[in-house]
Order: sequence, then C-alpha cells, then structure tokens
Amino acid sequence: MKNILKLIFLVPLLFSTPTKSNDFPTNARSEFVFACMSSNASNRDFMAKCSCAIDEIAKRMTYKEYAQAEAIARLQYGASPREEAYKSVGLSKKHMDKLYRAQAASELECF
Amino acid sequence: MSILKKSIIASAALALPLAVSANSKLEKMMKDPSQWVQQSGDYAGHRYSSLDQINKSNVSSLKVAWTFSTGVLRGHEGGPLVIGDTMYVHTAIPNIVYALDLNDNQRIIWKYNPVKGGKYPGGETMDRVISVMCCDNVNRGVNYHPNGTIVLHAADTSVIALDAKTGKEKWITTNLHAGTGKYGVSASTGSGQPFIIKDTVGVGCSGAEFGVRCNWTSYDIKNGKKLWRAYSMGPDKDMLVDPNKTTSMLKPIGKDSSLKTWPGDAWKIGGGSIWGFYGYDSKLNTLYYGTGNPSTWNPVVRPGDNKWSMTINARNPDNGMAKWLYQMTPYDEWDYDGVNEMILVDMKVKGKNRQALVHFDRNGFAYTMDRASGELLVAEKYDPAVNWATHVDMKTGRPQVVDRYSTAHQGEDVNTTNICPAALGTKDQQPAAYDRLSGLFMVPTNHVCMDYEPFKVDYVAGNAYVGATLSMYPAPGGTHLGNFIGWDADKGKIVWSNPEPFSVWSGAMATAGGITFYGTLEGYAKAVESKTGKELFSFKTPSGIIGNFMSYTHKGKQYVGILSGVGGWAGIGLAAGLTDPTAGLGAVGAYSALADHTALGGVLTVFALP
Repeated sequence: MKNILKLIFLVPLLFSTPTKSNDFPTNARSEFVFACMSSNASNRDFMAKCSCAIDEIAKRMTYKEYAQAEAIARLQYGASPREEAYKSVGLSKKHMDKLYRAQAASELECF
Repeated sequence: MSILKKSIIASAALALPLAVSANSKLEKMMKDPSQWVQQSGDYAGHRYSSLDQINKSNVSSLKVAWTFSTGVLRGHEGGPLVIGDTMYVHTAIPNIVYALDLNDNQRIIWKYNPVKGGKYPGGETMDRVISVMCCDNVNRGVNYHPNGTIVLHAADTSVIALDAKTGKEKWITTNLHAGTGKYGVSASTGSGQPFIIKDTVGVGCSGAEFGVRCNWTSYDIKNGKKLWRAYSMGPDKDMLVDPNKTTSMLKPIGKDSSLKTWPGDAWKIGGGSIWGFYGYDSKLNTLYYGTGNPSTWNPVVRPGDNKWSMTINARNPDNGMAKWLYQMTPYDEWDYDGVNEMILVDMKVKGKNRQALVHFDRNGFAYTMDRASGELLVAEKYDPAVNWATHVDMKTGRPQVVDRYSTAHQGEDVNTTNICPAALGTKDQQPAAYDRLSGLFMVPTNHVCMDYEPFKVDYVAGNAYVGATLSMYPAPGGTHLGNFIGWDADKGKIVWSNPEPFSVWSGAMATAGGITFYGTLEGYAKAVESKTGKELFSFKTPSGIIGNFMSYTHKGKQYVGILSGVGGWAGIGLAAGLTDPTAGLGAVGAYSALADHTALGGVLTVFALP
C-alpha cells in the first residue's frame, strides 16, 4: 500500500520535465548579460532586456543542458578536425535545438 | 605483487644517483612536490603529485583560491610551472609567457610576447602561422632548465630561451621555418613542449597535414646551437639509426628500413610529426617519443608500411641514435597519430619485474613495452568500441586490420563507415596519469567513431595536404562522446570507466590524496577517487578544459591549478544568436569585432581548501 502511494506521487514527477529547475548560477547569468549587452548596447535598457532573456532561457533548460550547448557553441568557433566532430553529432543538434527554442522564447518575452 | 611494493619500486627507481649534474638538479627538483618543474611533473610522465593535504575525505570542500586571465582566446593546452615562489603561465597563439609572483598576490613579474610587430622571430606573420596550424592555436607549455632558463617552443617553431628571473631573451633559434617559398621548406609549426635533458633542449614539429617531413632536433641550452636532428623517415643517416644495432621487435631493423616502405620519393613529404608528451629515463639515458601520421591522409597513394611514422622511438639523447623503434600502425589509413605521451613505470608485467613504458595510442590500443629492450609485452584495446583491428599480433607486433574498416581496401572515393575510433583517436595528446598508490593509469578518452573517405590530392608546399573527408559521431549504442577510465597496464583491462557527454581532452593528475583530477569540455574541473572512479568534486570553470592539471604548495599549503579555454568565447555566440551570428537578440552587427573579446579568453583557476 505504501509503495503504491509512493508510485502515485512519483508518476507526475517522472512526466515533469527536468527543465523547471531554474538552476543557473548567478555567474552564468552575469556572463550572458555581459555578452548580450556587448552585442547590443551597454545601457540600462539592454541590461533589463538581457537579464530578462537569460531568466527566460533558464526557465526552459537546466544549467547542465545550457553548459553542454555552450561547450558545443564554443567548439564551433574552431575548425580543426576535433572541433569538426562536434558539428555533426546528434548530441549537438539536440542541445542546440533546445537552446534555439529557449532563445526564441526569450526574444518574444523580453525584446 | 602488492600495490605497496609496486609503488616502492617506482620511487626507488627515481631515487638512484645520477651522473650528470644538470640532470640531477632537475630530477631533484622534480621529486620536491612543492614545485611543478616540468610539464609532466617528472621525466617518467607520471603526472603524479605526492601531496596529500587535499585528499578523498576533504576534496569535496575545495574552493577557488584565485584566478588569472591569460587575455588570449582559443585552446589552452599544457599547464603552468611552479619554480620556487614563481609561477610560469603560457597562452595559445601568440604564445605569451607570464611570470607570476606567488608571494605578492600573483603580481606579474614579467610578460613575454614572442610576436613583435605582428611577426614571430622566424620572420613569419602571426596570421600566416595561424593559417598553417593544424588543430587550433594551442601550445603545450614551457619548460625549465636549472641554469635559470624558461624555454618556449613558439608556434612558428622558434625555440626561445628566456631568463627565468627577468623574461629577457637569452637566445632564439627558429627550428623549421614555417613558411614556404621564401625558405624553400614546408609548413612546419610548433605546438609541443620543449623537452629538457641534461644541458640540451629538444623539440619536435607539427604539420603532417601540410606535407612536411618531421624530426626531433636537439639544441644546446647555453646558446641554442643545433646538436643533432633525427628525421621520422628517410635514409638511415637522416633518421640516426644503425641498421645493425637499432632494433624493432628485438631484431635489427636492417639497411634502408624506411626507404623500402614508401613509393619513390614520397618519404620526403612523409609527415611523422612529433608534438605530444615525452619521457626520459636517466638511468638508461634514453629519450622516448612517438611519431605521427604519414602524409597524405589518402593511403592509396603511399602503399607500404610508411616507416617510421606511427612509431615509438627510444633514442640516446646525447647523439640522437635510435636504440629501438616500434611501429604501432604500419600503413596508417585513419590518421591515428602515434604522438601520445610515454609513461615510464617500473612494474610487474605478467609476473615479471619490468622497466615498462606505457602508451595509450590514438589507434585505441594501450601498449606496455619493456623500455630497455623494446619488447612488446601488452597491447589491448582501452575502449571496447575499437573495431579497425581485431587485435595486435604479439609475434609480429602488427595490428590485424579488418578489411571492412580499411579505407585503403575500400579504395579512393569510397566512404568507409563506422570506423572506431575516429581520427581523433581513442585518446589524443591529453596525457594520462599514473597513480602510484593503486598502480592504475588514469586515462582521458574519446568515444567517437567516423566515416572516412580518402581522395587524391596533389601536394602544393605549405597547403593543407589532407586528402580525406571525415564525419564523426558517438560510438554505437550510446550518446556520450568520452570516458574517463582507470586502466590496469599489466592485465590490459579497464578497471572502471566514467562516461562523459563530451570527449575528455584535459590531462589528468593523480595525487597521494587518493584522488585524480581531470577536466571536461563543458568546463567542469573534477576529482574522482583513483581506485574506483567515484566522483568527489566538480566545479564549473569559465570555459572548456583541455589543459593539464598540476599541483604545488605555497607557504606549506597545497594548491591545484588548471588552465581552461577552448575555441572562442561562447557567451557571445549564445547571446548574439547561434545559427547566424548577426541574427541574435537584436544584435547590431558588432559580432565580428566581438569575436576578439580577449578579456574573456583563457583562465587559470587555482583551487585550495578553505
């Protein structure tokens, strides 16, 4: 009986996505805001928009997923054989797609 | 034999008195765990620190003690040195060297940049050198000679001796000019560490993708005078081999051992680059290094064994003469460079005490050799995914190649699929560590397979000379691209294996605290229990880690240091849009200028207990 109860409580957990954790460290959010302001404008308006954007992204993926997408993005700057490896792998596409979706959503919400 | 006995033998070997004073001084410094005086920690390449303040019971509370920004983007391989109270940190191209004062909040004592007015000492522009670098702008670190010299092997192949106190140039010699036409030679580059033995410094060369004939060259540490040069292939006199005395698989190699294995003059652009981590045994007075792939990548145009590419070399460092050679991948068809590190361990192999050499090759086999005689003792796969060969024939030393995965057998313009490992190898240059406590080897690995299609290329000096298209993906049955493993080099078996989402490209370091450090491409610095692989610590550094861990003490306290830095600054890509760099969150086309955002480049992170 106890076990069945446990199961009932666990099932919703299994179906909920792990992306609700909102677990980005402040440091990662700051870096994003810094980069975002650098590529747009270093003013208060964009500080607000960029902060909003990273908060929206953090709602939609775990920090672990973001860190993996970040690693792939970083490697794509290089063109050596080992970096090439990461342009085609399925893993890259999966994580990048998730990031693209989160980015698109953040753009709608914040800009 | 017990683990304890094993470690006693290992340390006894290091404790023997030595004949040459410069050597003995450097070897004495290597035994002092408060310093980290050579890239691999010691000549044996153990990458082991006998410090144990940070250990398996307290490593989980490790904190960042300080950080240092190198101010340079792109890949940061190798690691810093600590000599006394000074730390020496190098960067990717332009290969800046910093001396930091550990007594004074890491104040910069001096900064040296070999690129002046956009040019390297050899006369080439930095842009030209970058254009012929094969694999990112990396440099694998500086080394120290006890006469007070820091040696840098810059990307244009210049060997630069700096006064360790002031950073002033003592001498510069350009090993192999990086240009074409002007110098009449091909596009060699420098990325490997300069290796100090006695009063000499030796360097290899990179550039097998550009049709060079690589070599090891030894220079006098006092003045940079060239002492000897041993080519990886060609006539016997060029290679510094003795047909009667130099052996392979315990037999003399005979006359023209290399020339016979190349069609016509193909050896002249035969590749065989040398850019990994090397070993030296002062008792046997032997230098150990590996040579890389034959060029071109298209095997159809170079039938034969292509000796001595893909070869472990054992040489006398005084005159360069080869004692023994062992070719791991004759007639390479996959770009399995044989350059990886040589780890020298005195251990029991199949019940017998051996002066062993352990080498984790790109080709997916881990070799245990007798480093005195060159006898092959163990050759086993260290990733079960490896499929291009069934096994290594222990009589001939040759891998038994599977036709299905032979790109030459399949032919030009045929796409050979599902070859494991990919061209990156089961392991690239990132050095493994030897844990003297458990007797296990801590090995960072790739778990990546590939499709490989060779095509014909005509050689044009100084241009990429590859001749194969590749596509790579995770090994079948999984989605992870790397593993960090514990390896038994006697049995030839994996003891434990931790899957990682990405290839593990950082160098490992084991310590007497029972722990091993390694880093990941996402930027996590990790510590695991050496005996079991159990993860005990993880910290996200600012960039991906492809550098090597090191440890030292300052004022009696243990520190652990690691360089992070891979590719460009991802932050800007993530914020400015991924598919089209100019199409991001309202980006205003400032992207290309921002790609030079050097303030967010490589970072040295140094950890300590609180």
